[in-house]
Amino acid sequence: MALIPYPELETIPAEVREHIEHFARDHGRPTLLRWMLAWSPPASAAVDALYHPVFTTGKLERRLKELLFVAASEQRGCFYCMGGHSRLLVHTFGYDRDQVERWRTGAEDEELDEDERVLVLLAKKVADDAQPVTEADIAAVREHGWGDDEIVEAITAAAQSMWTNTIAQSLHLEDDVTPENGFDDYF
Amino acid sequence: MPHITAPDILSMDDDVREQYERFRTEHAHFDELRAVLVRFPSALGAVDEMYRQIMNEGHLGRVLREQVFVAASVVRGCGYAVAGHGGWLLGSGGLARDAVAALEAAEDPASASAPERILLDVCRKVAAAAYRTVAADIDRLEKAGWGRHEIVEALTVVALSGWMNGIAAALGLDGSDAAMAAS
Repeated sequence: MALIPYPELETIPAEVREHIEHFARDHGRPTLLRWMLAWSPPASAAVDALYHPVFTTGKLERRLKELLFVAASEQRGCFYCMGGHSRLLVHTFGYDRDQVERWRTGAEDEELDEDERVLVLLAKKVADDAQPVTEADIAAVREHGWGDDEIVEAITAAAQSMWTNTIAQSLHLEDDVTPENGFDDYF
Repeated sequence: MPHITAPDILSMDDDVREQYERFRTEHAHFDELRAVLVRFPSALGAVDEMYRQIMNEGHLGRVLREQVFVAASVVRGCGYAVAGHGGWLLGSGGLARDAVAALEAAEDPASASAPERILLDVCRKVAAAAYRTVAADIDRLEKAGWGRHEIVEALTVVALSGWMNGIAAALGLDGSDAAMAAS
C-alpha cells in the first residue's frame, strides 16, 4: 500500500482527473504515478512536459527510448516503472515478455541489436549513481554509430527514470501493483 | 569541458535558440547543461517547464525548495547542481553563506526550523536510496506538520534534482558554469 493515500478523485482538478481516467481507459489500469502526483498540481503539469514530448519526438525511436527507460528503472530496482513500461513494450511494440526481461538487463543477446545494447548499457550506467559516466563511455557509444544528438536523447530517457523512480519508490507505488488490484500483467 | 559539446548557437533553429536564450537571459545559470540539451529540444522544453512548475508553484516556499534541491544534489555528489542552486540561495534566496555551506556539507542550516530539518533529512534519505523510504519517514513528516501536498511537492523536487543530477553527471559537467550567477 502506498505510503500516502491517493487523493480522492472528486477532489482532483478536472483536467488532471481526465488524464488519469483516460489512461485507465487506454491501459486497463490507472496511472498510480499521476494519481499520486495529483496532490501537487504543479507536479502534474510538469509531468506532461516530461514524458510524451521526450519519448515521442527526436531521432531515437520511441520503442528504443522505452527500452532504455525500462533498463534504467531495472538498474534502480523500481518495479513500478520497470513493470509498467515493460508491459508497454509488449502490448504496444510487439515484443514478447521474455525478450524484454532479457534485454533490460543489458546482457549480450542475439535478438538485441548490439548498437542498441550499447545504449542500454549507457542508460543503466547513467541511472546508477555509483557509476560515473566517463568520456570513454561516451566515446564507446559513438563507435557504434550513434551521434551526439542521439546520445543526449538516450541520456534523457535514462534520467526520466531518476525522476519517476524517486516518486514510485519513495511512496511505494509498486506495493499497489498486485494481482488483487488487477495488476497481474506486470513483470 | 562536457563529454558532449553544445551545438553552435548559429546552427540552432530559431525557436530553439529563442527558448535557449530566454532562460539564459532571465536566470544566467545552467547555461552549459541547457546548451547541450539544445541537441534535443524536447528535453530543453521539459527542463524549463519542470523548473517553472516544480520550483516556483505550490505550497512550499521557493527558498525551502531550493534547499531541498541542494541537499538532494549533495547526497548524489552533483557539484554542478549544488553550485547552481547554492548560488541562487546566496543571491536571490537571501540565505547566509554559512547556511549554504552547511547544506553543502550535508548539514542543516542553523536558520532551519525543526520541521524544515525533518523535511531535509527525509529528502536526503530519498535522494540516497528512494526504495529505503518507510512509513515511519512519512509519519515523521506528518507529525512535524507537513501536509500531503507539501510532502509530495518536496519529493518532486528530489525527483527533479535526480533528473538534473543524472544528466549533469552523464555529460561530465562540473560546477564552473552553474555557479555563474544567482537569479
